[in-house]
Amino acid sequence: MKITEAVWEKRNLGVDTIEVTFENKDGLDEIEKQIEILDKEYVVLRIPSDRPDILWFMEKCNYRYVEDIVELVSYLRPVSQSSVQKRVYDSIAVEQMNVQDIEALLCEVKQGMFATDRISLDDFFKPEQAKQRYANWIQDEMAGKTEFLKYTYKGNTIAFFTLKELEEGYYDVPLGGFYKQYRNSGMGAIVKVPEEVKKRGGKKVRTNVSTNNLPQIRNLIINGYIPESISHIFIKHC
Amino acid sequence: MTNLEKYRKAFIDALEIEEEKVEIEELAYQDIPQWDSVGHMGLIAELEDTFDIMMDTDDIIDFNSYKAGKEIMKKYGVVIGE
Repeated sequence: MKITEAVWEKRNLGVDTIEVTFENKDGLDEIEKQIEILDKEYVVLRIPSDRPDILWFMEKCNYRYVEDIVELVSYLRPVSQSSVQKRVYDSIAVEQMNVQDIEALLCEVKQGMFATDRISLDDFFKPEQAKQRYANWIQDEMAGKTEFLKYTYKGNTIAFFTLKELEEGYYDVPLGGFYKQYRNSGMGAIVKVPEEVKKRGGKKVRTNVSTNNLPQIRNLIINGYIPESISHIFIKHC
Repeated sequence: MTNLEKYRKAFIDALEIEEEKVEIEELAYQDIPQWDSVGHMGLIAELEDTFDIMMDTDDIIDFNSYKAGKEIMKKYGVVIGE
């Protein structure tokens, strides 16, 4: 069991926040003792999907279910594409983002690029808080070693994604999304992340997607990603 | 089958639409869960196979409704009658 004081959420959301990630080996007795002393304003729990006992216990403690987070991984194996997918895939380029691109991205975030996350869907928080949280997250990733890349189509930026090397050859995509004008284009089915990871000598890449975003889960699966774990997310406002 | 019947059938088959539950003529991208990006690729593939055409990428992207699609199909010599 990992208990983290989420100081970034105090900045993002103005509430003292604790995040608790449970592991399969955690005993229920120990969990019961720890949960009693969690007294922050906002508590976020991540429960492995194969521990329904923890889930049921948390329901009794009046924690509220929000979403599942699915971890999907690509091992960069070749993927069969239809003629249509290949045509669209080949028409999209990937480029590094510059300062102007980041400014444009932050504008897209303000327009509601991310609308299915647990903060956006929580009546306790305002939409502006959810948007600012993503803007802050982008700034935090930029301050780290995360690469920011964009998809372009005929010279126009249509989407962005991030790449972060967690350990040698193993990459993560903390953030990504399509820009408003291109969200109804069908291009979400095109995922060029594995190709970029391969270029960098990587062996695998993971990303986490909320079950509130089924279209993105479908996009990743048809591009060769495999679901590797599911966590139930519960919250409580104290 | 007329072009309209083939066009309609392509939507029904590709997007697994239950005809009695959906007004196909008014259908647009993301109006139903099946017409997401994955569904869109399947729909375009179905239309291409049905009418033996190959759409430009611009048209694949602009094909965002049943109605808009009828206009796009004209570019490929396929007239979808009423």
